[in-house]
Amino acid sequence: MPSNWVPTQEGDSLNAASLNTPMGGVRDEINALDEPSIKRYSLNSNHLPSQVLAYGHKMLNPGAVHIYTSLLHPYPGWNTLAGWSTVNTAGSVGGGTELEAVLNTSVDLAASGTRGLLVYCNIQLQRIYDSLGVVSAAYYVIVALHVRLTTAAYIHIARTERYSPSDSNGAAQLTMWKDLPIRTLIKSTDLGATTTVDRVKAVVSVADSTGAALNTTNVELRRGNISAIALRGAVLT
Amino acid sequence: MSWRFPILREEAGHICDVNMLNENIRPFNDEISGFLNEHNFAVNAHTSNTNLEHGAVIRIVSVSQAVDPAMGQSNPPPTATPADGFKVPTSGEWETVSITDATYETDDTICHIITSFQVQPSLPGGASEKYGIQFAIAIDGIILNETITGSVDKEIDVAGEGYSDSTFADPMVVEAIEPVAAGQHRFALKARMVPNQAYNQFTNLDYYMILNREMIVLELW
Repeated sequence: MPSNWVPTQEGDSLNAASLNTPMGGVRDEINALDEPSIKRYSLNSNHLPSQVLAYGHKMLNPGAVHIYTSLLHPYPGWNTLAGWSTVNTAGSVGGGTELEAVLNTSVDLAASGTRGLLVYCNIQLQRIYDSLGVVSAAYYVIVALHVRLTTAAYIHIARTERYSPSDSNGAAQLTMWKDLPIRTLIKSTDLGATTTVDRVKAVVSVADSTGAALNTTNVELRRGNISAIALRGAVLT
Repeated sequence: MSWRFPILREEAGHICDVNMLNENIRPFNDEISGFLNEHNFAVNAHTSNTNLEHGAVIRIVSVSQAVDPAMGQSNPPPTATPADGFKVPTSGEWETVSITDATYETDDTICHIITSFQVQPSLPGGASEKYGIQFAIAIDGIILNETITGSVDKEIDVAGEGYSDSTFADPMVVEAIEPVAAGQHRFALKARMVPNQAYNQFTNLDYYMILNREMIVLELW
């Protein structure tokens, strides 16, 4: 708050008390500066630490599609960790470059002031068809996000599950070039006892909702990107 | 400004004068009463966040709803709204999608509004195909036109108004960066049903559902 210093009045006696009291008031104010003491817009990035506590980014731009199959990676069911394939340039067989953002430093999402890991992810869906080359609205790709703890265990974020069917409007539209976007703020409440994270990745699975299972369903993905920043801030809700 | 030198210098042997005393104290008092600025703080004066209030730069609103679509191998996506899902009514009016709706006080600042959600038509497979859907972000009930998905003009969208026909279940993201004035504001994701290219009437079986959904508002300084 502004200082409540009162000038010494004409005729007031000058003694230890009349000198020390006003000076003490100024001293106390300097030792407890608060918001109104500072001129608005004064502080900038030269004075303040970054509010981005950690960041990571990964982009896939392969020359060919990567294929995931209902044979190797059938949709494991709602809110299930195991059974997904990491989106990678080798597809269901694995071993390719993964769509996984590795943070430049691990971050404890439960630390004071750390409010979450904001994730932006886009995956390009090219085609969904079965082993006979048939497209059907019953064939689905499902994608989601997994965040890695420093224990190397992953956590499945159920609310990030997104799906899209094959284009059933005919062979002319077989190649869809569809974007599968996901945005989320991963918070400590999404995690368990361990709340320090260091990676976040995109995962994929395939579903044939007819249950016929006569033919393998294939999902072709192409490009993708994932970005994550751990933010310091105040959570209002 | 950064500092003031005493205006009146005391000298040895001078008589102590209250005016001189006051004039020397007053600038310091004025300085700390709202005029401290960037010159008073060293570069990198605050290298640690421990001195900085949590919400000094970013304030975050985050609301979400996880919805099990009960689909997968042998299970088609839902044709009726599952628990915690949101059914977009066929009224044609903009409706606020539940959960992705938050009211709070902001400063005079800029907000990054992010909505991410799963869309599911009631009749996958094109059994009806009589309808489309549009989404938008609204602040205080006012639709941000630039965030409306799809077209509102059939002349420039041969597929009809709206984002798609009833064939597709799609994940979607609608985002905006908007300046807001200080005060209480309501941020929300809105959805509405729109006709297809033939302007067929909706039936009770024609609707969309919003399943997994999340809204994040970053109030940025």
